[in-house]
Amino acid sequence: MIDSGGLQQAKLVLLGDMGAGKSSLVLRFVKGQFFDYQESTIGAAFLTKTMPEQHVKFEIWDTAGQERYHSLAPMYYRGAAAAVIVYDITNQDSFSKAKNWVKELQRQGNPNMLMALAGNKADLADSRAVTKEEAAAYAEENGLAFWETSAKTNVSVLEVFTDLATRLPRPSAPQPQQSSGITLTEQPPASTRKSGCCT
Amino acid sequence: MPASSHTSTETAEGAAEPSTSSSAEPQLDVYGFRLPAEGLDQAGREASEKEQEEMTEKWSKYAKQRALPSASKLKRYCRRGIPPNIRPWAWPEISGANLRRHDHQSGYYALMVRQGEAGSECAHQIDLDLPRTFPHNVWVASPAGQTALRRVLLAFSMHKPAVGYCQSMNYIAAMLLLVLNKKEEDAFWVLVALIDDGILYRDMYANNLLGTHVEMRSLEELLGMKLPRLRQHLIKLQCDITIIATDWFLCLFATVLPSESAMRLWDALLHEGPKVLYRMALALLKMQEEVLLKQDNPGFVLHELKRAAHATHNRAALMKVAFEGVGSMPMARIEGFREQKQEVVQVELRRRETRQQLQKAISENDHSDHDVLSSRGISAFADKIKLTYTSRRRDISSIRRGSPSSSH
Ligand SMILES: Nc1nc2c(ncn2[C@@H]2O[C@H](COP(=O)(O)OP(=O)(O)OP(=O)(O)O)[C@@H](O)[C@H]2O)c(=O)[nH]1
Ligand SMILES: [Mg+2]
Repeated sequence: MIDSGGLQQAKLVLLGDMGAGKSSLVLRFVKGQFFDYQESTIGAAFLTKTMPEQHVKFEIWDTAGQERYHSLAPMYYRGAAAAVIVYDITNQDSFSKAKNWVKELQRQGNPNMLMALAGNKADLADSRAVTKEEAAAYAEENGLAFWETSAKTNVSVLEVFTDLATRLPRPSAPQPQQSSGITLTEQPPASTRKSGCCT
Repeated sequence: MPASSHTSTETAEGAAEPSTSSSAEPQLDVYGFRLPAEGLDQAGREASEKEQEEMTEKWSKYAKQRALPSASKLKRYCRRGIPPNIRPWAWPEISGANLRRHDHQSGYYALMVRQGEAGSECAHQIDLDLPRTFPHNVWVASPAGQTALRRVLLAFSMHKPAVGYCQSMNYIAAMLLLVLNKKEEDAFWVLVALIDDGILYRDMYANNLLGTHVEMRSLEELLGMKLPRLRQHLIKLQCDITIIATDWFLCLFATVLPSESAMRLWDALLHEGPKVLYRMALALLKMQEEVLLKQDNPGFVLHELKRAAHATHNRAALMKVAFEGVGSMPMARIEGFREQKQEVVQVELRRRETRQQLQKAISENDHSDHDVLSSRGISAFADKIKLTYTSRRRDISSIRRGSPSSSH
C-alpha cells in the first residue's frame, strides 16, 4: 500500500526464541536505544519506522518468544511483507527454533514474504554456540538474507532492515489482499472456522 | 509511567526520545514505579487518593479485628478499593489463598522451593526473565527482589508442573511480592489461588494458552454486544481482539495500567474473579472508542490503547467506568460463551499441533539415513504420518464428546 506521502507501507514481523533479542533489535532500529534488561514481551508490541531513502514505512510487529505463544504468531505474520527471524548466537537451541520458524513461514506464510535471519548477540562471540558458517550455509540453502547482529553494540542492525526495504517488491500492480477472517491457525479460511468444521 | 515502566511503545514512530536525565529524582508511586515527569493526571490521582482515605477508615476496622466485612458489604468494599497497607492482610483472605495454604502441611512452600532449586525444568526460562521483570522497579531489580521472585516462580513450577512457567507470571508474581510486603509465601499462595484454584479461567497459562484463547473469543462476543460499532470496525481491520487483549488477560493488566490502578482492579479480581477482567477490557475499549474508530491499522489500535491505558492514573474514575459504565454482565453469559468457544479453540489448536508434528516427521525424514524413495524409507515415513493422524482423530473425537484429552 502507498500512503499519502508516497511511502510504501510494509508489514514486518519479528519471530524467534525468548530472549534472542527481538525487542532489542527493534528498539535499536527504531529508536537507537538499547537496554541491558529489556522487558519480556507478552502478546506483541507494535512500532513503526520510516526509511525515507527507500520510501518505505515499516509497520513492525515484535512478537513474544516463549513456545506457548506460538499459536498467536499467525495473526502477526499473516499478510506480512517481510520477516526477521532472530536467534542468539550463544544458544544452539534458539537456532533450531529459528529454523522451525523458517519452515513454518515457508509453508504457511505469504509466499512472497522476504526473510532475513539474524544471529544476534554477536558481541558475545566468546560464548558462541552457533558458528557463522553453519548459519550462513543454512540461510543460503533456504534463500534467506543472513546477518550476525548486535543490538547492544549496534552491529548490522540497520543493514538487516535496509536490505529488506530495498528488496521489497514495488507495488506497481495492486497487491492481492489477504483473505479476511480472524483465525488463530495459519490458514485463513474464515468459512471453515465459522462452521466449526474440521476437514 | 505505567507499571511496565519503560517506553518501547510510547511513541510508535521513533526518533530517540529525550533522555530523562533531569536533575530531579523521578517521583515514585506507592509500589516504587516511576510516575511520568510530564503529563501526569495529578488531579485524578489525588481524587483517587481521597477516595482511598475514606476506604482506609472502613477497612482498618476490619483489619484490626482480622475479620472480613460481611458478604453483603465485601463485594462493594473490594470494588471501592483496599488501601495498600491493608492488602497484605486482605488479599490472602479474599482470594482463598489462606484456605488453600491451610490445606497443605506447613512446610509446603519451602519444599516446593527446594525441589525447584534442585531441578525445575523451567529454571532456565525463569532465570532469563528475572532481570527483565520490571527492571526499573528498584526493589524488583535488587538482589533481594530477584531472589524472592525466583523462589516464588520455581515453587509454582513444581506445584503445578503441567503449567510450569508461562511468561507473564513473572509480572504477576513480582506485583504480588510488592503488594504483600515482599512475603514470598503469601505471594505464592495468592498466585496459586489465581492460576490453580479457579479464580482465573482454567488453562489460561497452559502450554498452548488454551484458556486464554477461549477468553479472547468470549471477549470478542461481549464486545459485539456492548460496543458493536467498534467490533465491526475491528473486523474490518482484521484486528483480532487477541492482538489487543492477550497481555491484558495474562498479566492481569499489570503491564499496561499504572500499578496503583492495576492493583485497584486486583482488589476486585481476587474477590469476584475474571469477570472483572472483562469489565476492565471493555472499559478501556469504551473510553477510547471514538479514537479507535479512526484508526485504519491494527497496530495503531494497539498503540492508542496502550497510550491511553498507561496514562490512566485516575483509578477511581477508571473503576467507575468498569463497574458502572460498561453495564450489566452476568457471569452466566460469559460462561455460555466460554462453553461455545472451548470446543472450537481446542479443535483449532489440535489441528495446528498435528500440522506441526507432520512437519517434524517430514523434516526428520529429510535427515534420515535411508532414501525416501527406497521402499523402507517410504513405509517408515507413511507409518509416522499415519500415527500422527490417528492420534489426532482420537483427540478430536474426544473433544467432541466433551472429555478433555489427556494432554490437558
Ligand atoms: N550482549 C547482548 N545482549 C543482548 C543483545 N540483544 C539483546 N540482548 C539482551 O538479551 C535479553 C533479551 O533481549 P530481548 O530483546 O528482550 O529478547 P526478545 O527476543 O524480545 O525476548 P522475548 O520478548 O522474551 O521473546 C535482554 O536482556 C537484552 O538486553 C545483544 O545484541 N547483545
Ligand atoms: Mg521481546
